[in-house]
Amino acid sequence: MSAEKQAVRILVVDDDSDVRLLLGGRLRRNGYEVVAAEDGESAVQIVRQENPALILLDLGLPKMDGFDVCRMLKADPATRRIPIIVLSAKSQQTDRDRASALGADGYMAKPFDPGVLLEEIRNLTE
Amino acid sequence: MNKPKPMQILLVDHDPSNLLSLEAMLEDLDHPMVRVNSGEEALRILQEQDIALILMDVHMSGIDGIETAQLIRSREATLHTPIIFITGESGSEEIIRRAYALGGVDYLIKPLVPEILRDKVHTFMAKQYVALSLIQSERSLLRILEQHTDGVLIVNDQDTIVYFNDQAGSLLKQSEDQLKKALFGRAHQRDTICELELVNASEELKIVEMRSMEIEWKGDPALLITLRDITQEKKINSMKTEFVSVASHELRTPLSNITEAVSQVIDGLYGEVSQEQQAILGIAHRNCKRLGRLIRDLLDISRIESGKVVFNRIFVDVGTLFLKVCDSFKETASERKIELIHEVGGDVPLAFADADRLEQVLVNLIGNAFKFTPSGGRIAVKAGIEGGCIRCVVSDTGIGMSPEQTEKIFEKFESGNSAAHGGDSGTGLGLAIAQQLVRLHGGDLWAESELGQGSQLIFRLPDYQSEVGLLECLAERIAKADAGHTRTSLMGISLNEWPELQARYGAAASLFFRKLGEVLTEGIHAEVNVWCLEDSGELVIVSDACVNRFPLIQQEILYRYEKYRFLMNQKPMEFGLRLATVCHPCDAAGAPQLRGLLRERVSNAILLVNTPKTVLIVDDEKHIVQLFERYFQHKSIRVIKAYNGEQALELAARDMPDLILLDMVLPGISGYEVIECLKEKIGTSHIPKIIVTGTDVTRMKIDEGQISIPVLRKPIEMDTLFAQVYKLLDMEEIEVSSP
Repeated sequence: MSAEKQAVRILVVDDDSDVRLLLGGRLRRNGYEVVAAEDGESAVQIVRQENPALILLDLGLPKMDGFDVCRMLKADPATRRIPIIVLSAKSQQTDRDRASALGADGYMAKPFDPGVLLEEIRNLTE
Repeated sequence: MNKPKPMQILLVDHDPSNLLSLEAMLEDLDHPMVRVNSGEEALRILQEQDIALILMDVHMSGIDGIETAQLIRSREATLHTPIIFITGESGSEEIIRRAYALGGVDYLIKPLVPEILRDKVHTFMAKQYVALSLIQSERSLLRILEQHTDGVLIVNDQDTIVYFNDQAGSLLKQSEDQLKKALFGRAHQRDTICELELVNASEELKIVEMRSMEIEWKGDPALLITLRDITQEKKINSMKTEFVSVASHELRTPLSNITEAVSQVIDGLYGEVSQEQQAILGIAHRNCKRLGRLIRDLLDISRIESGKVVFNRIFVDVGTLFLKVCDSFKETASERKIELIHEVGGDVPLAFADADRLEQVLVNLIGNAFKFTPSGGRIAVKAGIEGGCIRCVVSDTGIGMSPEQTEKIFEKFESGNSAAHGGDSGTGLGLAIAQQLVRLHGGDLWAESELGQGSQLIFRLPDYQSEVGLLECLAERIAKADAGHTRTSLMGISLNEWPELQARYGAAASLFFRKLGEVLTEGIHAEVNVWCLEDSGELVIVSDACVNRFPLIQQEILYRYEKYRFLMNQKPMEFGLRLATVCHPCDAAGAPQLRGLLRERVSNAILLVNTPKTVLIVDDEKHIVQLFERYFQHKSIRVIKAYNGEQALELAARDMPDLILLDMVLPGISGYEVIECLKEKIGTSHIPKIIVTGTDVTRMKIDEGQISIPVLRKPIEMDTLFAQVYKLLDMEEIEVSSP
């Protein structure tokens, strides 16, 4: 399914290297190009350099948390249109509402269903 | 301890031979006796010993009998000690009168008849025995109260504290006045249990469980109040909740990684997996999912128990919800060869509930039914109306339960025996969660079953569309709410477009408004006062309820508003509601000053529930604006108007319309700049726009980011316009006219 697709670049932001490895593996095998960041500051930097088509964003991050990353990227006209899916162990409605108020395009609680995640990515990058 | 001490009789006579004969006559009665020869001696004995009865000669040298008796009565301890005078003068009426005036006396005339003397003494001693027993038991009762670990207070019906034990004193460390202030108002809710927060003298916050009970205290009605310090209990409980919440969160992260790692191998991402390997990995995967459910349920129950669940309640169509949930079980049903049917009566009213939570309840109940129903069985989900409530039943043809099991299934981690049917193993929390959720919605959930006869899980929700259901539910909620310290707060409700409403409906609008004020506040809270400010279309509500109770009152008002709208069959557009809360301590007299502040807040307030869709029309040509306005109003869409760019930006930021109809050529700020400015602000960047223009705007002229904005050329085809409007507002034409 992914052979004819031009590699869509996805940024995975998570301080857990296992998450970066696993998500990276899953996404690459589904035809995506993956870049990764392990904290909020480098995430913002990488977004500006690499211009990814979508961001998978953890909330509990060192240096700058996910909410701030989201706020910063959505306030900048250059990065505003990049869809952000929050992928966090936080599952409370208040966290979802906050992320959504800051402009996040999707929210998935860990543990997540890979099928649903891939579909959401497809919907937001098409 | 039970028997009073031996009761002594005091014999007083100046003549020793008289004393001896008295003693001989009373010997048979078996009471210890003390003999003295003078009033002075009698008084000394009374100071040293407990005496139950005094027999005294009236005529004595030194102080005589009457004087002695007067002195005896002047002492607190002997105020009620009975005295029998012995006198030789039958005619001395003056002496007898003085003796009787002392109270608690009798007299005998010499010569004494032994039977009469014994009889009289016996009667007095028997009375005294009862009186002393009473005093004794009162003393031991007080001793029990004194040593009770709970604080105990007794309050009479004049609200005076007539007794309090050490524990109550130290718990409160307050003066009686402060104590009264802290307790009263609440203590009048008789025979109740409630929790209250008290600040003691060392500024510590104590959470106290107060129980009050009506009793009789010394013959008068009084209130027995016990106070139990549950501060520590509460603290531990909240620590437990906090722990569960943090632990669950920390568990999720590694679990997520394990689940994903296993499923990547199962999905064949790293090469082919044999059937045997699949089966083994399947076990790991299933158990990951199970652990995930367990964590989710644990978090849920801990949030529910700590009262942290926030409901987003709306009117929900039970039928649609049943259909949705049953659909999600379709596959399981066909796999397990179980017939799943659902039946919702046409008369079932809308439930006022958090749709997601109500769905969770149904999923848990149906999931539970699947666990206990064998292949070939049947699960039925039904809803109907019964006794002013919505009654939902999930019944199965499963193994059923004994009465003991029926009681236990709602306890945590009580998942019964499901292995028999190979169902998905549950977390043991599903039913407990469902029950709590239903209760938090003002309803109840229970099970009815018989072994081998299948089970029925039944839940009832109050029917908010019926007056009775609403009032009952409100009463219950208010009873549960914690009344706070006296602090006046102000809250306001404002009707959108009030002047227009008045112009259109005249007196009927005023009537509606006043009626709305009544309906909204009736029975909500005894301490709520309402002012209808008809000229501005605002209801100002002043309450001395605790500020933290305000969200509750606000919620009640929203229910009532929704409910009223239903009763009146009002279209949402006509009575949009804005609600603002100004939590501001003030007294009722200061309220008018706050109205200004309130008005300001109201106009900036967030639009709440079911407000009509609003369209901002921006065009410098007035007749075009009017034309659009008529069309939009005809479609029950609220219109706000701007004639230039600045005005458009201001209204967009203030009213947050759902759609902006924008002309490109405007005086001052152009349409392009308006779009740019709207994009810059978080509050307005999401508002969809339709560009309406007479000039030749091609998409090339608009930068990449605006490419999705539809452009309509003048003259406008109204059908085309509304097709776009409905699409952007996510509306369907038929749905607009009914709530």
